[in-house]
Amino acid sequence: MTQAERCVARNHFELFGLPVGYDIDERDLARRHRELISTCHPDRFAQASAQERRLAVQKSAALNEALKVLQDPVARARYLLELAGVSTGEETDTVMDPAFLIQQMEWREALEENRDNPARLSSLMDEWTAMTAARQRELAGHLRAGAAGYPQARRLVRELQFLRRFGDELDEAHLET
Amino acid sequence: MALLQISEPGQSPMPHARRLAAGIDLGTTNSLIATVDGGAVRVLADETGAALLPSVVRFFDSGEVAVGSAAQAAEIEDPLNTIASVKRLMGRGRDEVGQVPYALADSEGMVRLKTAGGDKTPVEVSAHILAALKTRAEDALGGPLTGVVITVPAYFDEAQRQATKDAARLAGLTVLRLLSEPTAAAVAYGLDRQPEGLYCIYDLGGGTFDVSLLRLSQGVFEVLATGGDARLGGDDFDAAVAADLEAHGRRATTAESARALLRAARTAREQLTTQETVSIDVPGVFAGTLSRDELNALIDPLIERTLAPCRRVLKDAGVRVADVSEVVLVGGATRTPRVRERVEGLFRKAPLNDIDPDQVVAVGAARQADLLVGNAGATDMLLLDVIPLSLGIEIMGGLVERIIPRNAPIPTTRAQEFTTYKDGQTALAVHVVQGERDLVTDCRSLARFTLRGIPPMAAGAARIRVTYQVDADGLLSVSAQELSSGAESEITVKPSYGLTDADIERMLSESMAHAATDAAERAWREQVVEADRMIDAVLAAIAADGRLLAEGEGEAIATHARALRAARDGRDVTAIRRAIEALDRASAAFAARRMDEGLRRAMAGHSIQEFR
Repeated sequence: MTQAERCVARNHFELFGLPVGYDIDERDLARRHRELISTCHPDRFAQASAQERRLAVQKSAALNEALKVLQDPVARARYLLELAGVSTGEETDTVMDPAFLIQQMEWREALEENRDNPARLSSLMDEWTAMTAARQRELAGHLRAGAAGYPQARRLVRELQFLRRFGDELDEAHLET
Repeated sequence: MALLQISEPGQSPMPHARRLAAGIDLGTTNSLIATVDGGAVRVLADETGAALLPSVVRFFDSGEVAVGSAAQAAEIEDPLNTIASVKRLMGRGRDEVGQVPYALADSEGMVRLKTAGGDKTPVEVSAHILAALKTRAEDALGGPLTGVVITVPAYFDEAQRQATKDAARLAGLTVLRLLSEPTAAAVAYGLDRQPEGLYCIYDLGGGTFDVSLLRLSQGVFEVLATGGDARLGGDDFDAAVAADLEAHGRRATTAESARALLRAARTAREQLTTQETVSIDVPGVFAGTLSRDELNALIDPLIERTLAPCRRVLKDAGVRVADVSEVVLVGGATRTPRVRERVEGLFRKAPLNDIDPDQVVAVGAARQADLLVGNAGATDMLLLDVIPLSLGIEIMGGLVERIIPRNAPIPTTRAQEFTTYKDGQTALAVHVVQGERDLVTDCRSLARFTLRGIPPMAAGAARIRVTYQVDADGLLSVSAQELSSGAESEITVKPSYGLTDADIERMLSESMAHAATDAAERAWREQVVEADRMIDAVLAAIAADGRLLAEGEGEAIATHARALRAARDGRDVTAIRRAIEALDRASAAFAARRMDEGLRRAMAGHSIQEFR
């Protein structure tokens, strides 16, 4: 048996028996994850040898990691680009569209000035939700287009990552009011 | 067939004898042990019929130890040697525990208590509680326990979980699983028999508050989010009441009167569950009455502190109050009517409380223990947990780089690559912390891992892959490999607030329970058990999935299994260990293939369902 045959999956999609692609039914993914982890969770090997317990931990960890990536649209897009050899370079490449950055700075100022203003925070949240949803739709379209869509998809993943961080801060501010 | 001849005649590779297992709720105030008996869960009581074992341990200068109500009775007369609420000290450093009514020894790492019986770590104190429960169960069940499930607050960090597991090891218990208390409570209510749902478990115990949001689907529980406060509980209600009594009376000036005051406060709070007013008399401190309304006003700010984490877990899981199917109350402090009112107010739903809130966690743990030792037969129940706090490592400038985010499902792994910054560098240190903040000083230090044995190379040439693994119990292990040479690094762990293996070994050899057997004897027994387990597992695997064996692989495994059986019958521990390792290597690929086959089958079943 070759190494490739021994290894159940070459990527996260295959691990769940899914075709490589952006469109995923999240409920179906969660169901597949539960069915698979039911067979290899360490609790199924509580009375087994140390070797089997070790393997069970490793397999379950791999399933959890794959689920984490695939169930999140941005992480899934980043992973698809990675599989295609396109790095999103979020930690090394800091060049962003100036218009996008200016808009983000405006939001940040609005957040700082309105921490005690639940109504303004709510409207900010609405703007954020709308922009995030629009970019995710755009991202899906570019990824369906294959290699030609990768450059735009890369930009959108980077911007969505920005948006996510801002969204977290907005959530925190909301919880505090 | 030659492969199976190493199984002795009449000896089944998979014995089906019923194994004794128990669930343990190791609580701040009280502890319990329960077991499944004839399909029903039985909470085991002591000879006086009491199920709750007060989590109190008294140390005598003779070296003797009293546990439970005998120790609790001495709380007032012998306060410094009588340790209560030790759960709050588990895995904690001296600078973290705040005011405690005990004498603390000067020590680095985990706090140590000065007692008449010598300096004791919280792990040793907890081990005495666990040992008392073990004795109770083994007397009641008439045999040794195969294994136990011990519950921990979902919010417990890695050091606290490790300390709990270490205590079990000292008590001579095999831990099948550390289970989070809210998950155990959900299992106790049989919520696993519902088709699906979203459950909020509100657990206010003596010293800890936990709230968890669980999702159940197809018999599988997942903890979606968890939060809480590891230092908030019914004890704080009592402290608030006691402070109020002092404010209206006189200060308790001695350790004895302080204890008497706290006890009176607790009794008053418990009585106000059914009465509107109680009278209180603590000589020298307070004499008068307390009404339920007055109690409510005193504890409302504390209850409020439990509601913020409730809102947060809803937010973390991305669900609304209306999405929650049921709310379950756990912990003695939820008997307080005001707590129920406020919880109902937040969730707009009457919470479930028909199982004794003191016993519900142990009941669930017993069911899980029964399942894990294989008594429950085929079942779909699977309890999936998450890591409650993010894990990170220290990077330049005292900052934290997050490696595993909070609420990630466990088991989980994360690999990172490092390089060397000096020519010929052979060692590397990694400092792992747990918490949500960006500065190392704002997080809890877990451990420092030192990797040695990196092959000497030019600076920047070595590529060291460090793998962090969190198992199903929430416990961290670290391994490292130099990628260009494939050399495994040797890793030494220095837990910040935990015990090293050497500490535990020393405590084991000092402890009463193990005085009769020396360390060598114990090591030999452990290896024999693992050898038997491994031989049984390999034989069962070959019998079940022999078709997955590669050419010549079965013969190689059989040879090593025979060698292990021969070594196991001898007294040489090292020889047994080596033979286990050899069989492990010979069978690793086969074992991995079997696990993959299991996954493939699960996936195939899935596809068939979909084609219908």
